[in-house]
Amino acid sequence: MVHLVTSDNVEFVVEKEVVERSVLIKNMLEDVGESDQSIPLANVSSAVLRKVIEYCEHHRGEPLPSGDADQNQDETRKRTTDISEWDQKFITVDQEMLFEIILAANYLDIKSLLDVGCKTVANMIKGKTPDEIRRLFNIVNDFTPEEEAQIKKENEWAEDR
Amino acid sequence: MDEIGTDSWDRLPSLPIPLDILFDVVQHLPLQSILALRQTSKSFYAITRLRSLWALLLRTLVQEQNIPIPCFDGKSLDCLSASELEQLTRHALVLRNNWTNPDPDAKREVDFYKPTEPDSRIIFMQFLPGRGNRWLISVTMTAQPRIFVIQCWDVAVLQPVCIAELTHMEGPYGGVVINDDPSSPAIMAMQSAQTEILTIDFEEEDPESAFVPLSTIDGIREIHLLSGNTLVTRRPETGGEVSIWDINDQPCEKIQLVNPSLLQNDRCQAMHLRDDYVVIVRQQSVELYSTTPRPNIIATPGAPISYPLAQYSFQWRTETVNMSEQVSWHAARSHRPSPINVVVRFGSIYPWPVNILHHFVLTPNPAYVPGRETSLYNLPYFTQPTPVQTIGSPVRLFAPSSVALGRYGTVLWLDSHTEDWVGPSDCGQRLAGRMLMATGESKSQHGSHASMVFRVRDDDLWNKIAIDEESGRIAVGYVNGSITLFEYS
Repeated sequence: MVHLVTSDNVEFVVEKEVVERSVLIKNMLEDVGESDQSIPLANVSSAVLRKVIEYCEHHRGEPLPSGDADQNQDETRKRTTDISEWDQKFITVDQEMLFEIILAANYLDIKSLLDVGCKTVANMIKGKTPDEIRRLFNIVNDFTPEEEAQIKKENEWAEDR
Repeated sequence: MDEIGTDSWDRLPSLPIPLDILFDVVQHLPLQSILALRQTSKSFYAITRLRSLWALLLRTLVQEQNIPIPCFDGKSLDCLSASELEQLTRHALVLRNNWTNPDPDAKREVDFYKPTEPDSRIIFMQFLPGRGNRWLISVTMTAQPRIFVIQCWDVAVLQPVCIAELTHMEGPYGGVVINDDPSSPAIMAMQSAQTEILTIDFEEEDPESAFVPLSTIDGIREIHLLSGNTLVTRRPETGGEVSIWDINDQPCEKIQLVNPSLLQNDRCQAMHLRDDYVVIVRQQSVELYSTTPRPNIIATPGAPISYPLAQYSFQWRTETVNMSEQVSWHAARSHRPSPINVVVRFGSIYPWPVNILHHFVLTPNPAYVPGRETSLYNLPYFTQPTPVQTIGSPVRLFAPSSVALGRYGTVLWLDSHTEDWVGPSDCGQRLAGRMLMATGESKSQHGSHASMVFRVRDDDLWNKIAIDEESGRIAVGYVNGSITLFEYS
């Protein structure tokens, strides 16, 4: 069992097999060896870690993506945004939580979870107009009207594809 | 592309996630969304102009989809900037979009040749592969007196100009073949009373001396294929073998291909030469030979003889055959042969051909080991062509028809199907096309119709067509010797 302590000082006790889906923690455990000392995760809150552990529990035992996989195939695969049904349900959270999960997945180095998060954000953007995207993420339009018109014109070519 | 300066724009985006993760998100987006995101704010503008993004998009949206890139000409992607990569992606996708439209929109149309002699017609036309994608070769035949004029046109300039011209008046004429290897100095071969290997001096100011002979082979033969240093010919007499020549310096016959089970007068329709094998489609059969010479068991004069490693017989006689290996990014990366598109118009028991184009594919043998010698036990292709689709293409009696097939899978043809545009009529022509999917899966196109109709006309003046998918050009030659160039890029 591994002890994790979150930024808001909540301790989680998780099976080694589950928590090792995080490459960060896996490497840490390999370096220091197993001990009863808890690992502090200063960047992750308990609410987020609970979700992350739920994800790791569900995917326990699945092979971890290997680093030496064909880089190109990897990038081609990235261009699709298919998400499995369970993951989809799992990631149906409010926007703030979604970004927190992405940040945590990035920090803990859980590639498949990061992937699910990025695909979810991509799916939110897909098919939307610039204005709709701004509203979705509270992006401030800092173009002058002239700049905006020109950029719009430059990028019209892809619209009817 | 760089109209808007980006100096003060590289602030962090307002999304609460770091740039590298945001880049991950952007990679998952379709092109339209990337360009929509670009228009939201300056920081997103900066992100959607990253070089690594466009390198990825050019590869996944264009190269891996086997879409030609206009004005690319084999440049190295490594030395291109972000905006150049974006431009290439845009050009390629815009051209593909227009090219595969049911009613493609010609961005440029120019008539550029009218021969002075009456009774002249275009009998051959082909774009030179590569070499800047700007040269068109045409052959005009005048009936009385019999004159053949071979010309090379620069079609990249506003009004195409003839930069090389060769007039052939005396003796027999047996056609020309163009080298499919753009890096070879031998640009074409012409058959007269001898076989002449020619190059073109593109800098020469006098067109009449711009065709430069490199070497000649005495004697009359049919010329079929020129690929790099290799010329493939056939003896014209009955039982004529196919010969493979090495045309480096002193041309020499390297090997003879003989099929003992066939009457050798079965005409050669199309050939495909690669590595150490050649695929020959004859009038009624497909054969695969090794091109590695081995000493004859029984000493015979002349070059060593090679027999077919595999063959297949068609049920019917072919009238015309076009054959081209499909450009495949994935096959090229794994150094494997990719499917060969074969477009056939069969003959009939009547003196006119059937009103259908058949699309077959020669499928690569999955057990083939590239790099190992081609033999009976290591065949690159299955010789039985797989039927993929049929395309309705009626040709009236005595009406001219022509088929051109591109490396990227565009088949283009002339036929007499004009009812949909000009109503029932006893003349009229259509210039139509279709994208062939070598795998048999048809993407968003169903049925047996042309998917693109480039042009129609209400008379029968078109005779020959040529296609260059990389520059998006089509050239049409007329029975009166004129040429029209259409540009879709």
